[in-house]
Amino acid sequence: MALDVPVIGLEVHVQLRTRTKLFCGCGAGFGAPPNHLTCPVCLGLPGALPVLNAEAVRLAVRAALALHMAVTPHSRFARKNYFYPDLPKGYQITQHDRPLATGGWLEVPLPGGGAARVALAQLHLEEDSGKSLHAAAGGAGGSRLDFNRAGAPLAEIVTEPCLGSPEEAADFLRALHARLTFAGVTTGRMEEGALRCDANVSLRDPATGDGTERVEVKNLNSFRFVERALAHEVSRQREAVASGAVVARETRLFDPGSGATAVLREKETFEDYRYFPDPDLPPLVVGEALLAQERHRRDEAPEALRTRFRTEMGLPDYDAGVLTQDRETAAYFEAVARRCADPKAASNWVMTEVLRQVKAHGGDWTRLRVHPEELGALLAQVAEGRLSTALAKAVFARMAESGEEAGTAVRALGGPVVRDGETLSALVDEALRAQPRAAEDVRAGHGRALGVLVGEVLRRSGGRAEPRAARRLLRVRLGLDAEE
Amino acid sequence: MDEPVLSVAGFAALQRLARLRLSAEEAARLRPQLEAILGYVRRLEALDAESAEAGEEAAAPLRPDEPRPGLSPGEALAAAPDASEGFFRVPRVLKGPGA
Ligand SMILES: [Zn+2]
Repeated sequence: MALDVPVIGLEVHVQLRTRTKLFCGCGAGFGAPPNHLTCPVCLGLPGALPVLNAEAVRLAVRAALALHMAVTPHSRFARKNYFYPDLPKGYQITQHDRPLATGGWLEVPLPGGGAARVALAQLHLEEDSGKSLHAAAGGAGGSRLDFNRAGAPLAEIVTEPCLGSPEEAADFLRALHARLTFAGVTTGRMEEGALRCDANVSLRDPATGDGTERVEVKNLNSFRFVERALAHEVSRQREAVASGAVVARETRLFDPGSGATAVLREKETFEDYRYFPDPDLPPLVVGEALLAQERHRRDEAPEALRTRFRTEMGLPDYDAGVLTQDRETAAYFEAVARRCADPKAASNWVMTEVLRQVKAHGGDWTRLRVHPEELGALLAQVAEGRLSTALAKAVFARMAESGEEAGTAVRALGGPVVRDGETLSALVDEALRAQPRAAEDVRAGHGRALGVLVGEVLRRSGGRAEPRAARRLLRVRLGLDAEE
Repeated sequence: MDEPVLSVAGFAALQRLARLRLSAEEAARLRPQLEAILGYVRRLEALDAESAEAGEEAAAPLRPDEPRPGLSPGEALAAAPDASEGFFRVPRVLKGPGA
């Protein structure tokens, strides 16, 4: 034997699924035009002060518990100083000497059955950087910067250097992705960078315990890239060792185009981040109440869940039974219900549309591409009369199929919702002609018949009319007040 | 205790890290000032802070996860030395090999 056995450790950046950034009230979502989600705090303007997002703390604690970690009661924030244009303050707020959680493990299914435990070192909270768009080599015009993502909340999860092969590293990442997506910690959308990974790679001689210098490989943003980049890096190091060369301690960047890694910078030159505790932020105290809530959420037995769904959420026993058939269904339902604030509507949808999709994918929840919060938001729109149920169902099906966001799916399904103008007016006229009896009933004071007319408008619009607007216009046409 | 708080080499390294280019006169003026600050911090380090800390730390205040309006893109870009098409613009940053 010689220096031959790969030793791999991963640092995984998980985007926490919050509405706002880690230290300011700017939206943390995606798809906004450049620099539409900024404020003095996340742009690092003078005098601005960071205030920590409670939900980010909750989700990080949830992740820590899901990974069997020990949560640090008093953790603290530090400044990591370096200069790069996508870092507006000249430092990143992160956690250094006292991270939010330490230790822990994740069980990773093995290809031949069974499971292996991957040991974890720590989890800490930190803010994301902005995005640089680089001009083409030799091109003029400089680099362009978008700070929408600057300050978005990340949990960085660090493994022990205990992964023995590129395949094992990729399997670990898949298992982590599944675990944290189910727990509602992250959207899991890889194409939006929900999980980003750096790896430390070296070779070890099991006989002597000697090892090569650690090489850091950056920019591993898909499961496939992780495996390819690490395979390339391991064989590069083996070749170097075989030819008698020294593997230098350095940072390399994976280029998906070439499938190879290339030197980004040499490690020995000034990797001094001058960490120090952030004077703007007192220690982060994770209280017993939050821990208890999140532990409870993790540990709740199905029978207890079923009772709670009945008593607290007012669901029929049948619904409660279906929704607690497994933890995934229950967790998904809860997240939908929390977002749309209507447990029965959430239950109806999960029992039909959602379970149908999951079944179509062989019961694999990881392949359901609609996050429960997104479905919850969709149902809230239905409840507010801004979207018909028919359109919402089509939108959900499309999202599940394509992984698109709701807005995109609505547009793809035939343009915007009809809520005013000539089109709605014409639809209302048609409905009144088609249902003269109902129109008469409404005029005679039987308000319930209005529902028949709204239904007629929705049918004629192919589900694209906004129910609320249709109702309002019908009332006006029938001589009632626009608002009920 | 009598080792220098900030060596000449250490001061030069800090300049590089902070991307500062100081003239000899500026360096001669600033180094003693920085040494005085660090000397003060060194005195604070001598205090037994660990025992005073336990249980008495103020907890970081938490904010509900509610979006709040920030700056318009125009306001955000107003202070930028260079901007175009909604982006901040900086001199070309090299990325990848050769950086
Ligand atoms: Zn902000």
